[in-house]
Amino acid sequence: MLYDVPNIIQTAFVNITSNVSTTSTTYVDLAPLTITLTTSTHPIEVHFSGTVGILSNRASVGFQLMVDGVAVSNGLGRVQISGNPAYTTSIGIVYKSGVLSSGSHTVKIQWKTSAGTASIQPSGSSYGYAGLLVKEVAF
Amino acid sequence: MPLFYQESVVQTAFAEITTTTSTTSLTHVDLLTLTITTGANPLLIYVSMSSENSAANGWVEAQLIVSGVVSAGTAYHSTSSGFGNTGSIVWKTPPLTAGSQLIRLQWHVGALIGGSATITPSNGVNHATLYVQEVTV
Repeated sequence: MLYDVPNIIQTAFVNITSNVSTTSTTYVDLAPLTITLTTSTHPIEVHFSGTVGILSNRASVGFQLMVDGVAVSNGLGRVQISGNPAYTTSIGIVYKSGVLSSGSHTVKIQWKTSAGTASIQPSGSSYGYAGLLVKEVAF
Repeated sequence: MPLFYQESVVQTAFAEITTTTSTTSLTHVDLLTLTITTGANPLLIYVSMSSENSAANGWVEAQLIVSGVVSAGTAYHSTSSGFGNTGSIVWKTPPLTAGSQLIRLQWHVGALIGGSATITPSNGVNHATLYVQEVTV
């Protein structure tokens, strides 16, 4: 008997569609970027990308990828600029899990700032952006 | 248990900057383009880029356009003259109308500071790539 299994079983994607900001210096949920999906015993691939503005010179913004409550990867973007009102930096994370247990899994992004206010502002610009893509893959 | 893996990636397409490429434009101009013919499927799109700006505190804005729809973008500053930085985008479209699709990555320098943004692939630091997967799931 052959079992017909697609090599990408499913994909899920969310992106920031309205302005969000944080002043937290510890990781908090970047609330719109949470995906819950039910998988079989397969790995997942995760792709995150975000462009964030920081209203504080020499500040940094951190992003952390969580899978089922465990931090599995992170990235830090730092701005070190003076005299410019639009400090932006971009972060990307690519991750592949081991084989997950069959059932429901939650993938989410958290973020923090070292100083000032970090914001992602898709309203009114084409570059204020963050997106999270999750693929359940066969191998 | 015998398994047969069904191809859920219909096709892929890739474009990259291979020669030194610069812009001083203050409005979006094409950096990379791909044209593919698809079924009524979604696209997964990945952008990665880095460049250097001739002006301290200058920045680059880039945007992804899928069949005429501005979908996502990125922006990044150069902290000093000649310094670089990076941008990236990941995107999934809704299922498209079957037919020819034009995927464009555009860029420009920020108007307040200006300067010239340059991608020099030969220096082993800068790059720009656009990767598209047509998928059925």
